[in-house]
Amino acid sequence: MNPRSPYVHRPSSIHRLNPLTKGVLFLCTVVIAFATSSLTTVLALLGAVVAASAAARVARELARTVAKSAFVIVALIFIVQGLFYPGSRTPLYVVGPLTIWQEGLRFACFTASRLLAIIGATVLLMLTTRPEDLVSELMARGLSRKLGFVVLMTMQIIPNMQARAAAILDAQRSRGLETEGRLIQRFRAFLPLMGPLVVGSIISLETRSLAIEARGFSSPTKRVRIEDIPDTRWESLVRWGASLATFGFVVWRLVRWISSLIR
Amino acid sequence: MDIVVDSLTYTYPGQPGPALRDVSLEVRSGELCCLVGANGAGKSTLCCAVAGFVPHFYRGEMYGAVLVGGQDTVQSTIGELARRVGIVFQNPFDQITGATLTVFAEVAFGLENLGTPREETVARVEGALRRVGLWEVRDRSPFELSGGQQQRLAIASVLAMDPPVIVLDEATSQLDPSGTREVWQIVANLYESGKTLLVAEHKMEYVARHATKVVLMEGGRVVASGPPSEVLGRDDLEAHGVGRPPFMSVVRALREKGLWDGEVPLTLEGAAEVLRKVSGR
Ligand SMILES: Nc1ncnc2c1ncn2[C@@H]1O[C@H](COP(=O)(O)OP(=O)(O)O)[C@@H](O)[C@H]1O
Ligand SMILES: [Mg+2]
Repeated sequence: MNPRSPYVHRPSSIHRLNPLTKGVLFLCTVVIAFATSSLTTVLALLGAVVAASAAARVARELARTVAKSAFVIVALIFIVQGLFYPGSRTPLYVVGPLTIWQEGLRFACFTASRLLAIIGATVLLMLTTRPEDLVSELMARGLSRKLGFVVLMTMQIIPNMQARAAAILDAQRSRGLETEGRLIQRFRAFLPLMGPLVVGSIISLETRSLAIEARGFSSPTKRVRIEDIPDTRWESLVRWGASLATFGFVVWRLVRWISSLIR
Repeated sequence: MDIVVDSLTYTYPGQPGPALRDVSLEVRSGELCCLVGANGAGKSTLCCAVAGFVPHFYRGEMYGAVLVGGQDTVQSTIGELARRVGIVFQNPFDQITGATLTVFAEVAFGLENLGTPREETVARVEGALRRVGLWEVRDRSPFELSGGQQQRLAIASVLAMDPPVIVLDEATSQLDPSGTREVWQIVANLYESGKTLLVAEHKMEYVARHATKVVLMEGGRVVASGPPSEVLGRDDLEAHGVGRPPFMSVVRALREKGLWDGEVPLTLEGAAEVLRKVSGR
């Protein structure tokens, strides 16, 4: 609906979850992905993300977005780790002067899966949750309005700048400026855009802050929403369960790490 | 609710000189006061002062006082002032909060912030949207609307909160002629309903037709203020960076030539009437 947000509206139980639940599950996924060193765990996370995206009927959008944003870096991970992973001992293939190592590939698999799980979880959250709803839910639970405001504004900066840049490029193209073609040409077209882009974005942000203030945003009264976002005991249980499990996992990893240092 | 500006001098932070210099002004309850003047004359700054953004948002150095409904804006918070003064800005796109996904929710945003009971909010939002002619598009995304519609949305968002004072800062300057006409129809309608209006505007034919009072500004000062016929009838109007509506210039030329000795009309229809009389038809 909002052309500037990746949110895709689909009738699914994942979409209907309380945004806070999705936010918590997202955070748990990210924390575990960072804390773990086991390929199985990371693959399980990745599998969970894919399964959830299928349940939310956004599997195709997820795949497309993740592929677009992660393809280059995943390829780089495989090349660099496959060839140069330190401590590699088992050669897999020899291609001319280059050797692909088994340990390197294993590590690349782990790193890439971890990255994909994190990016996947982020994209899935954005595809199924309106940022407005998440912020609104957080504010209803005591997030300060100032912080909510900062989050709202920050989320708009990038899409806002993109829209603005497109508009300026359009205007300059209609004045005959070459904006397509070779890289150097495109770069030259981009330079005169920087001034209006930055100044315009600052002014726009200022006006938006004023407009939001004019709508009583910093009024001391408690916000009353026209629509409550549904929440259930069951979801609250999931949130607590997932948070505790993640916390437990991190503690367990820390203990293992410290004991390995002592030994 | 009236507006009183008393010897207001204000300097933006880090600026060498004041943007407003000793500005005094009174807008009585139910008046439609238009601010005119060249770019940089201080119209927007004055609008922001009435809404309390000067000095609450911009800080800076302020002397003198602004009273809205007898209450000093410096003593009130921006949150309280939002109930008394609604403000609409120049750029329609920038006024969309980005916190909502539908036109309906966008208008409800202000009332939600004020803690208005749910049923009342829904009723008021419907009223405001019908008033600006956007009820049919209530489920669309605010970003999908045209510039003119977005500007009417900004007005509706302010109207829903039902402030007695409404300030429009060049709200039509980025709109096409039909968008401008629609916004001014709403302004005229608000005037009829008794709101106090402060409107900075460049399009002088609308100022001439609708204003009950015109304030001419230049270099941060009030140069003249009074009824539109008086201020727009000044010989030095153009010297202060304000263009007279062409039809007024035509009638003034006729008067200089001695062909017309009556009033200079403030509307195009009035001018047409004069021409008809002068040409003897
Ligand atoms: N945010 C700001 N910060 C600093 N100076 C400003 C700001 N806004 C306006 N000014 C200055 O204040 C003066 C009055 O500007 P403004 O009130 O915008 O005039 P107008 O609306 O009549 O064009 C100008 O000299 C302008 O440069
Ligand atoms: Mg201005």
